[in-house]
Amino acid sequence: MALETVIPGRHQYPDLVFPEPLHIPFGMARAQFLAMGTTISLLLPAEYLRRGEEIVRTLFADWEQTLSRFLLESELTHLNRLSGKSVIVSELLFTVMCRALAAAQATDGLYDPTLLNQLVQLGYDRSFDELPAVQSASEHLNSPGGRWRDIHIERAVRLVKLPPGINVEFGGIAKGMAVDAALESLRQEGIDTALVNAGGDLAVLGVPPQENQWPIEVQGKTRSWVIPLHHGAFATSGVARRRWQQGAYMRHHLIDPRTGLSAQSGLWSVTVAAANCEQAEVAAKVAFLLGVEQGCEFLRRHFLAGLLVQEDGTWMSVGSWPREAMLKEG
Amino acid sequence: MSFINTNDPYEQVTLPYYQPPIERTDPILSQQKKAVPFTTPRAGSSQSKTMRSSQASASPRMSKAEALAVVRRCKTWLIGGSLVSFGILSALVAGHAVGTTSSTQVTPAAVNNQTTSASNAPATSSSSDGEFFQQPQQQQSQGGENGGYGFGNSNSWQAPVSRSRVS
Repeated sequence: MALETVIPGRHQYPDLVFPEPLHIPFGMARAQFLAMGTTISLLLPAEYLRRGEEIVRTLFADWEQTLSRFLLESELTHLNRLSGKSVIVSELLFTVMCRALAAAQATDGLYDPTLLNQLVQLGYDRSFDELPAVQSASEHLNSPGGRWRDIHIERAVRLVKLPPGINVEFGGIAKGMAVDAALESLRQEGIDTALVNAGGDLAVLGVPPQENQWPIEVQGKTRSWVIPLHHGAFATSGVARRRWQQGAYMRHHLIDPRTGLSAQSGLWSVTVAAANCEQAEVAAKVAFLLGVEQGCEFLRRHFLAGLLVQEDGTWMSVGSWPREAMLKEG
Repeated sequence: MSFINTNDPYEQVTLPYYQPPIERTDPILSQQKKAVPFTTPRAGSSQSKTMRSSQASASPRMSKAEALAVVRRCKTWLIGGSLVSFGILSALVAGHAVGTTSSTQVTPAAVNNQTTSASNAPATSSSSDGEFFQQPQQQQSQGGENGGYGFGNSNSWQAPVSRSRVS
């Protein structure tokens, strides 16, 4: 029995459209709501739908309230306002900060949480739903990133000191971590089959009854493929959304810390499969910034599987990515 | 014939509670204590009167003037100590301003030396290159060829249940 439950959140995002109906596995049900600037979609056993949705909705609301750079009263906004000073932060913010710094270190700074100033100077200074498609040219010259190395933390008291004038934003990694945390919360509630999808970053728990895998549609530039995920997580980074015109330049939100500008890697999108959504999100972003060759090498080095779609629509797979599933579809 | 004033605690036949004698190093008082062992007094007995008189002479009461002087001295020390503590705390705050974004307030003095720069070891659970992307042990499953993640059967097409897309 296929049940479809669509529950809009309190805030309406004008450009967010709930996707067209997807298949619902036997015995499961779907719920959707809006949080963290995107659509959160759940697949849960029908009998656990209400309880599971409540858990996940609460979790995402808490994370957004703490980590959104667009909310004036969020904890992250307060932290950014206090850059240059030592600040005691909540456990959630501290954990995300530590993971972001670990990701930066693991990627030699290609993942950089301290690029908010560059992002704002490129015009991404408000929620993307409120962002004008065309903006006037900026007179500021963007500087490279790398200031994450100057962030000072003291674990014993959850103290964070940002370098003066440097602001942080967690964006994708926070969303990926929220997905992982949501799945863990559901598991602790006794739910052993679930899928949580936050705007394309998704992770699964168990397998749906009678199907033994999760067929996931992965979108390329001109078409999409159905990839059977058994366990783990998918995340996709790319320029299909969150792009705008600034003066004569087309900008997007994936900033290359080496230049401080929107990355020009020749890629349209990168989808990565990993053990959890946090890893998948960071790896997809870094592979995108590195471009086709170095991106593939990066994914191989970390035993990750991925799909790299170039701007001309051609694609390349890495690792154990099921090419046969894509070739079969033509 | 002896008269006992019941309003005077020193004149009561039995004290309301028993206080054990305090050990002291004073040799005179120690001898007195040895000479007059404490026994439960009986009303009207000459022994109890002797004991009461010796106890009264052994612990003279502090006069009101002396007590007031002690209180004044304590007040002076209390005020002085408060001023010194306030000065030290103010100096610490001025030297190291600590803001907070959460309800937990920690004074700078409580901050220990377990400090970390981001470039050293920032992660809570893992920090090195290999650890961040570390995949769990390989799972025994249909598609578990890569431990932490795995793909299912690609032989048959199935309708998608969800989408991974650029967000």
